Amino acid sequence: MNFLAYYSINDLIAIAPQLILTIFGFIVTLVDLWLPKTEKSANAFIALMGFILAGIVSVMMFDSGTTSAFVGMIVTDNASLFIDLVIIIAGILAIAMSVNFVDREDINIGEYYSIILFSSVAMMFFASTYNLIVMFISVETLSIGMYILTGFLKNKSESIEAAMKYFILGSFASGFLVLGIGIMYGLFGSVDLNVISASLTKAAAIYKALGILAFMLIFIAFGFKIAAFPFHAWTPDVYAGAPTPMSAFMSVAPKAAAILALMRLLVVGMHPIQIEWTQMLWIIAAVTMTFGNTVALWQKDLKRLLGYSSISHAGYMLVGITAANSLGYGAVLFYLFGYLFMNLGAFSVAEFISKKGDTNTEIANLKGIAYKYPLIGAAMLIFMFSLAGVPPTVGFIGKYYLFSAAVQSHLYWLAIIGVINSAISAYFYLNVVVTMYMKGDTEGEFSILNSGLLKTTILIGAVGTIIFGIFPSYILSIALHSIAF
Amino acid sequence: MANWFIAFIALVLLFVIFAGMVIAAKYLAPREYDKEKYDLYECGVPMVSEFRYFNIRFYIIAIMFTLFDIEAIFMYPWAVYFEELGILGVIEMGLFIIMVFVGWIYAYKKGALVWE
Repeated sequence: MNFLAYYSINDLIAIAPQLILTIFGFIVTLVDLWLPKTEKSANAFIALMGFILAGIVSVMMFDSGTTSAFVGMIVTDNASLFIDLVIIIAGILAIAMSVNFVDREDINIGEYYSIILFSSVAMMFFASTYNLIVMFISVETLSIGMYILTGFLKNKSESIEAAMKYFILGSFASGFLVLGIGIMYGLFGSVDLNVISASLTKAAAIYKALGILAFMLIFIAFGFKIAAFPFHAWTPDVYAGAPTPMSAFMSVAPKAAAILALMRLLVVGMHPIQIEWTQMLWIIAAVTMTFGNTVALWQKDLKRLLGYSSISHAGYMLVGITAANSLGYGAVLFYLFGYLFMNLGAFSVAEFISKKGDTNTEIANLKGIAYKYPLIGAAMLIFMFSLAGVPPTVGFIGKYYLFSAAVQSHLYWLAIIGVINSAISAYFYLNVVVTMYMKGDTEGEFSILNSGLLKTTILIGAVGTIIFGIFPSYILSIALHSIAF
Repeated sequence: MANWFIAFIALVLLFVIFAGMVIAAKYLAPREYDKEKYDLYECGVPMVSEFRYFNIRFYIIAIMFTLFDIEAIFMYPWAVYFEELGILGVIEMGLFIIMVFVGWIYAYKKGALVWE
């Protein structure tokens, strides 16, 4: 057997962004060992360098065609590079949010940054494969990083509790994933989604039914990662308990990777049973949106509110997938790109008002903040409007294309449910704005995390939300033509 | 169809035999108290005390052991296909060993190997 026929240097070029992040992860791990305790911020700098370099490389690789590497196990195409970029920007912003935060919480150790880097690598692999085994390994790797980062505030019991809950539920979901992959392999003799799709087309009715069962088991793990309705229960607890920069990172990056992997699974692998999965996703999308938005109405804590809002946004993205047309898939990618700015921005504001111990993030604490810090207030206003879907923000454009994709596929009721949900969500998002602007005593004292990098993050979030809301066409056209399937 | 029927009979038979063995063991086996039998098992060495706490350091040693165990496991298949993999295999294995070595340096600097 000649192995050299299967391997080439092109394989390594196809995973260049992942390789760069891996190398920088190792550098952070090693450099941290010799850094004195006062110089730990250098870790953040190295991690930022890694993310920026990986970002440049993935932008350069864009539009260079679909590359298949490692005997078809890794596929690098425009969609995966787009998601890579979303993960990288989320990583950069999360690290910028972290630098002063970890100092205040006294958790400034190198592992924090190296785990962010390593789990980002796993997310990128998760988004760039058609192979179920590679998906399983990368989802496990990224989850382990997320469990650790959730429990990083080791003196705060909520953080430990959230990590424990996340770990137990996540392992349970992984069990279902591996069971589903096992049944798939038993039925069709392959873990490659293209092969599974071909076999599923000509399978007998009984095997098709078993295939649907296996698909549902696999979907449990994906639904868990994107926080879709019956598998959402971990989301608010984990987002409220985790360190705020990590809640922000977790609400965007793993979700982006899981959404693209889910699209690959559904559109490529499960194409022969499209009628069945669109019916299933219709119900899940509708219930996810409604649940997230209605339960968020009663939330008092800003981070918990954003947790429920992230459930409902997963529902909006599922609408785009349920539409099952290329507009829908492109709109989902675009929505993820916009969601990155608005959600990271909103979490940054939650971090801005927090006290030591990562507490004090109740909505009531925003009272009058718009008068004391007018720019922060204006930025939060933009984020809340964008999350609610008010023009001219990116949230509006994203939702517009998601729902128009649903209408294009004649899913009128789903689009109507989505629009009604946007209206419901306006209540609790605007409630935050009302608290900031209209319930204020302007002389109140605020304890804030005064950090230049954090303010920069808020600024980038606000600018991104507005710019891509007013001029969406460039990113939108990239997102629409990234979808190769 | 006949094959499926035979398989079904085999399955039924399997359950009958299984149930039979469990029931037979319940009624036929002698039940006598034996001190050794209900003792905690520890590699055949007589127990000193039943309330013995393990040092937390054993946990770290176990993790380190797993690290090198995995390394060795991956080296066996490489050794089998050493000729065919050629220089590429050497490079890949070198990278893998470097990665594990970084893990070892990390553990060493963090003091995982210091017993005091």
